[in-house]
Amino acid sequence: MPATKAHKSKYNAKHIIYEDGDKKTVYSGGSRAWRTNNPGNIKSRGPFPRRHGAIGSDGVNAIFPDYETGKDAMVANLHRHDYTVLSINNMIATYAPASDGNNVPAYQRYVHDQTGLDMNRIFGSLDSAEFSSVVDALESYEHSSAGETWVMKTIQATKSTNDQNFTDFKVDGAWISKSDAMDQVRQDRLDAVISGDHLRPSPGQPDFESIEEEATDEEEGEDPKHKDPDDR
Amino acid sequence: MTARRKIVATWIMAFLLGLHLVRADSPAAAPLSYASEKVVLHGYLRVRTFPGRPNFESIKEGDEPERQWVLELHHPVSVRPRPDDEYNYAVKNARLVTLAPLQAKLWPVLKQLENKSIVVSGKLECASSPHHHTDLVLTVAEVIRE
Repeated sequence: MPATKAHKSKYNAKHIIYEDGDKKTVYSGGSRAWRTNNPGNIKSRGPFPRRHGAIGSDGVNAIFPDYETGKDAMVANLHRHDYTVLSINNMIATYAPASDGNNVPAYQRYVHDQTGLDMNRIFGSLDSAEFSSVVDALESYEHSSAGETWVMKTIQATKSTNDQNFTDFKVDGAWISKSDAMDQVRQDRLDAVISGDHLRPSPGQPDFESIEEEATDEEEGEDPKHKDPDDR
Repeated sequence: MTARRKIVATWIMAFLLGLHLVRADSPAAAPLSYASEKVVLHGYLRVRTFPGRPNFESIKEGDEPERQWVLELHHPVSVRPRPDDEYNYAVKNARLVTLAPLQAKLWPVLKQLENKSIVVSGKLECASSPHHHTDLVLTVAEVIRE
């Protein structure tokens, strides 16, 4: 199921977090177009991105729930009247204006080489296959590259010395210390929020108290490398 | 009033009205329209370098620098889209406009006019591509030194 909202990570500038209910998927590294499922690098301003399925913003660019939705938005954006009335050459000169003598002709040559089209044809007169070939050429010229994705882990149980001081966290069936948990949060591997010296549940997550376990209940699943404070 | 005076008065009125419509970036001017075939803007022509492919975020972090002509307006402009305009968004008090010359013959002209006060005409659109680093983009039809 596609994500319903997405945002930039609080901890990592090159992470985008996609939310689908309780499931949070992180897109890390790669190009911005890849991270945001936005091959056209469409900006988030104005109503256009939302109307075409955007579910968030990275601060400048729109974030789409998946690549297909982002690609459809890119195609829709290029159907704007400002582009379709122009020749393919002039559409590119408008799409990527430059004061350097070489940038626009280089872009035009690349699209011509990729599509084989007469670049003096009116962009809006292309049939759908020709139009798609130009869109694909624009996308490949922009040098998008893939990064890595993962699903954020959740905290399954906690141990505390009191209600305010949670010391241990059960993640993937194993107990880890607060400092290890904080490291994972900073890397967007674990779904929680760092607040000063404490970990807190992310907005919308249950309170830690409600998932708290007694140490004795979890002896079997204990990580042997990590000793509970209660055992010391 | 004689017929000749009436004709002269009509021409003066038309001229003044024309001035009002054409000088789009005068102080307290009404919002411009994306739908207009041509607007006229006044400002200093600058060359600005922005982060380009692939991330359009930071040259320091590896994005290609892309140099563009930008008009620094003498007076800010606002642009309002028509209610049925699906693509363009409202822009208030913009001071910078990216210039996109379509004809190659305009390039040497713009080059010569860098850092000078110019009058430029063309069609406005809002930023619609990653290569647009200002809210407004003008496809240049004509340019002269002011």
